[in-house]
This record gives sequence, C-alpha cells and structure tokens, in this order.
Amino acid sequence: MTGVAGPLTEVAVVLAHGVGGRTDLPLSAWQAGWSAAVAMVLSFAALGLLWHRPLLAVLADGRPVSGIGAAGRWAATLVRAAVLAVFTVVVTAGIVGADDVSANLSPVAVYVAFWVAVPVLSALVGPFWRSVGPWDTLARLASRRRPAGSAEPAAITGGWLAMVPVGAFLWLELVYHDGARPRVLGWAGLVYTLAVVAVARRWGTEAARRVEGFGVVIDLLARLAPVGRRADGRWGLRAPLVGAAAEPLRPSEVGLVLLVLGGTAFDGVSRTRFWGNVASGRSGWDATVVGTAGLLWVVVVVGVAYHLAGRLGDRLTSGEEASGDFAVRFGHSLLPILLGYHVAHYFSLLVLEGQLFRVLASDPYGRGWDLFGTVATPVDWTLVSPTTVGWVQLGSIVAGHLAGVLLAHDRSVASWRPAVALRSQYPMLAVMVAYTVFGLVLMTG
Amino acid sequence: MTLNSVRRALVVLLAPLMLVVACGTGDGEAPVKEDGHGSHDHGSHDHGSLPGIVLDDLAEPPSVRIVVEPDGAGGATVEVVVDGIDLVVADQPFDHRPGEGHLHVSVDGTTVAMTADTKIHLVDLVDGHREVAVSLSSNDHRDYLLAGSLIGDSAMVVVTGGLAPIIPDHVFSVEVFEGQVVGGVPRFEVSVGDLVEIEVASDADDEVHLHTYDESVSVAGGGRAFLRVEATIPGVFEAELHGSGLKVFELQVS
Repeated sequence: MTGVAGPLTEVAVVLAHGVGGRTDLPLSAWQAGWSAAVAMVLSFAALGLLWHRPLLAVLADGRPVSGIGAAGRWAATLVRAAVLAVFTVVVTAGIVGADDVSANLSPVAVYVAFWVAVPVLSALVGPFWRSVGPWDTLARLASRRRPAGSAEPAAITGGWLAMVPVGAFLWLELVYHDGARPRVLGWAGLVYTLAVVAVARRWGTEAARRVEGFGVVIDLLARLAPVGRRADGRWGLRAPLVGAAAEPLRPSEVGLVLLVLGGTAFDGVSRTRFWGNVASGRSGWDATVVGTAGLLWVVVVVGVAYHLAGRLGDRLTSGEEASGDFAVRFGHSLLPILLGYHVAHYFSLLVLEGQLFRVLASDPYGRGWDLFGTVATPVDWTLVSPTTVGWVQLGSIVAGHLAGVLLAHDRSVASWRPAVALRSQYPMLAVMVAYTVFGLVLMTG
Repeated sequence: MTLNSVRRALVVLLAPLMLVVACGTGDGEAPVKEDGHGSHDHGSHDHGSLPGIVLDDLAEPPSVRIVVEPDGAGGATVEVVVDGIDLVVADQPFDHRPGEGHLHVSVDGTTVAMTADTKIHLVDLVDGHREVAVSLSSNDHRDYLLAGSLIGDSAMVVVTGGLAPIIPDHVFSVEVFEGQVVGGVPRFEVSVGDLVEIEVASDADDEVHLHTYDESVSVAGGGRAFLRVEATIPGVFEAELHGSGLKVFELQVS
C-alpha cells in the first residue's frame, strides 16, 4: 500500500480537547462516598479538637540553608538557558512545525509538561519556576535598567491582569475545539511572550511578573513546598504545606486560584455523562460556544460559592478586632485544594500522555528527525493501573481538603479568640466540603 | 500490553480476511497473495490523508459497477464493469496519468487488494454477510472522486463454507445522521481483554477514529463500517469523526 503510516503514527496519539481523548475510569460511588465521609468527619473534628494557638506561621520561614551561593546561581543560569532553549523549540515547533497534533512537540509540551508537570513539581520542590522560567528570563533581558518614569496601570499593580492569560489558556485547553493545534499554541505563545516582554520594557520586571499569570499560579503552589524563600531572602527548609501560612494572598491571587480551580472543575464536568448529553452532537464552533458557557458557569459557581462564604464569615466575625476581608484572609487555604484537584485530574495524563514528550522531543517539528533515538518508543498505556489512578485521585482530593482545613483553622486562631475562631470556620468549612464533594462526584463520571 | 502487541493481535485476527486471489480472465486460477498484507491491516489510513483527484469536469467520467456472487466455498467472485478509464497495473514509480487507474477492493471496509483485473476471486472470507466494495484509484493510489464521492460500487454477499466468524465479546452499534449521533453519544462498557466490535453507520463519508487505541475505519456515506478492537488499555476513550470532530461514542474499558 502507500505506506503513509510510518513509525511515528504508530505511537502517536491525537490530543483532542486540549488534553487527549483518553480519560480515567470513573470512580465507584462507594469509594467516593467513603472518601467524602472521611473528609467530612475529620474536618468537623478539626473544628473543635485542633490547636487553639497559631502554629504554622512561625514554621513557614523554615531553617535557613547556607552554602548554595555561587554554585547555585551557576546551576540556575544553566537551567535557565536550557529552559529557554526548550521554550524556543516548543514555540517555533507550534508556528512552523508539522501542524499535526500527534507529530508536533508543542501540544504535549504545553498541556502536559508545562501545565501539569511544572506546577506539581513546584509544589513538591519549591519556587524554581520563578528562577528559570522563560518569560522571567525574557522579561529580565527586556527590561531597561531604569524603568520609565510613568507608573504602571492599576490593573497590573493589583495583579488582576494576570487572570487574562490564565483565563485564555484554560479556554484554549478545555473549550476551544482547535485548542490542541500546534499553530494555535505556537502563535498564542508568541503573542503572549511579546506581551510580557512589552510590559517588562515599559514598566520593568516586577510589572511583567505580575502580568505573567502562570508564574503567579505556579509560585503560589510552590508555597506548599518544603523549600522556600525566607523573609530575610535566604533559602529555607520547612515542613511541606506550612509555607502557605506565611503571608495572606493578594485579592487578585485569590481570584486567580479560584479561576484555575473553576477551570479544573469544568474539566471534570466536561468528562461526565451529564455534560456528554449537553454537548452531544456538537462540533466545531458550535461545541466551543456551549463549552465556553459551561466553563464560565462552573468558574462563576466556584467563585461565587467562595465569595458567599467570605461574606458570611465577615458577618460572623463583625465587631471583632480583625474583621473584614475574610475571603482574602483565608485564600491561602485554597492552595492545597487546587493542588489536590490538579493532581486528581492530571496524574494519569502526566504519567501516560507524558511519555509522548520523550517520543516527540526527538522530532519536535514533525520533520522525520530522530534526535535522541526515541521516536519509535512505544507508549506504555498500562504503566499505572486504573486502581492506582483511582486511589491517587481520591487521596489527593481528600488530602488537599484536609490541608486546606488545617491552614484555615490555623489562620482563624491566629486572628480571633477560640470562640470566634470556631464560629468563623463554619462558612469556610462549608465551602471546602462543597468543593470536595463536588470534586468527588465529578470523579464518579 | 503495548500498542504494538494490540496491532499484532489484530493482524492475527484479521489476517484471514486479507488473503486474496486475483484471477486472470478464465484460464486457470493462480492464487496470488497480495504483497505486504500486514501493513494494510486497518485499511483506512492509507487514503484518508491523500487528496483525491476530482473528475467532475470530465464530460464522460469513468464508472464502476460490480456483481458479487458467493462461490459456496468461503469465497466470492467479483465481476467489475469499468467504463471510461484504462486499468493498468500500478507498478513503480506510481506516476499519475490521466485516463489510467486501477481498482481498490475492500471487504467490510478493509482494503484487501489492488488490481487491474476485472474478475476478482476473494477467498478465505468469514461466513456471513460481507460487504464488498470496489473503487477507482489513480496510479499513485489517490482516489478518483466524482461529486465528492469515490467512483465505485459496493454489494453485500452472503459467504458460506468459509472461516468461522470471530465472535466478539461485545457488539455495539451507533448511527450518525445529519451530523448527529442518533439517540445521543453512547458509552460502551467492556472489560479489559474483551474483543469489541462497533458498527458505525453514517449518512456521509467520513472516518471514525478511536483515541489512544489509534484505530480508524472509513465509512462510506449510507454505508457502515466495523471498528474492531481488543480492549487492552483501561480507561475511557473517545471516538470521533475525523472530518467534523463530532464525538461518536465513548468506549469504557475497566
């Protein structure tokens, strides 16, 4: 025959809908039910039984680590250059490489390596992305030593502009019908990079960092890591999770976390049979329009639920010393929940579709190269069993929930006397339980 | 199990369908096995990616009609009546020449032969209803197209005395009509290791692709095609139409 099917098409997989045509098996109702019950019982126990004096904030700094110094800076520079090189390959592959999802490095690099591996790794090892990420590198190169005199717009200072790229990214990943096309990703990446560079040039590196929403999200997740920057600027070692207790999130950062949480939740919704029926028979722009409405709907539900809990918390603590800004005060407790959702939804994507990165890195432009001799490596689709995936999903959602409850509890006893602190936690706990049950229900398909 | 072993399993399962004899015009039957039958096991990738040659401008475009008769011994004879084109053996180097072409023969959507003969003897078919289709292809194996469709003909034949049918563990069917999946997008639930057959009927030409398993099958407008997979990878997998991206069904393997 004509022999069109080469070795590449044998292992390659079409990544439609941003993240692939494979999803995990639905969890059984009993697994989800028991997990929800455990989460709930432990949370309510936490309300009364846990410590009554704040413990976590003092641990957040961690023990200082010395001796990284020059060697560390050299290593960071090397990694920075390597990441910039990979970034360049990914963007140019998107723009000039084969416009075929299964023969181009960019979709897997963007949706698996960048959006799953980097945030999860940051939460595990620390805020490395800020030191090596490509946009930070380019922003530093582009910013003038002395920023122009004009003050940056309030939208940048407040950090709200960061929601634009992240929102657009979620839309591309989860909704847009052509969101996995290399051309779309390549051009979007280039436009975004130019925007970040322009901001850096006009208003300096700090402004560029505030606009670079992905870096903000990744850095926030890195607060959960056992390694972090101490208040004195040195690196510190600490227990996992406690870093989040250090300083409250900015309002725009809370918004950003809720946006990503809503996006991940919509990803779950879109895998359910319910959504399958809603979207049934739609393709192309027709599907995109319905998906956009769905994404907005879930993001709004997630955000409004949190906002209402904040309002209720404000009311329950009114008249006390530290009143107001309830939603911002507890924003950090959303971080482990976001991480839990992220791991639950994308763990199997990382270990299964992630194997494609090795395959496609050998021929990033789809030109028939085999740079590393890995182009014909088969993907082992049974590397993790559905049972393992199921327990990872349950474990991460429940653990994220419990960690969120602990962080919120600690912040409440830091803010108020025990009686008020207890009272203040009802709305927070209600919204966290709602997120967790919602997350678990989504997992049952 | 890896994707390759799935492929191997399918080749073994489907190989009997692919043994083909092309006979000369009457003088004895010299069985000739098609070359490289392992490489065109799914019969659909081959043409989908190449643009066809549109013959709409011809005053008298070529035509193909077929008559298929069972031979009672596990095979069928196909008589092809071709008008308006010269059939030539497509030898290397496959240069396209207007007015020349050859026939692509398929059984149940799987291409089994390429030939310039108008009398074809298919052997070692599986018992039961088989759909035989013949279409015109250029020397460089591109489809000739007329009004957006293949130039060809198809017919059903009831095969007897042939191979025992491979009985799948599950048989599902789904129908696409006017860009919609009739009755909503179904989710077919099977167990790991099951042999699954999914019948796809469509009112328009398209190709059905099952993600991750990376299996495709072409379906002709008004016809049906069979997607057969051994369910070795657990998970939920989407199948969609290659052309429109419409989701056709989900396969849940647990």
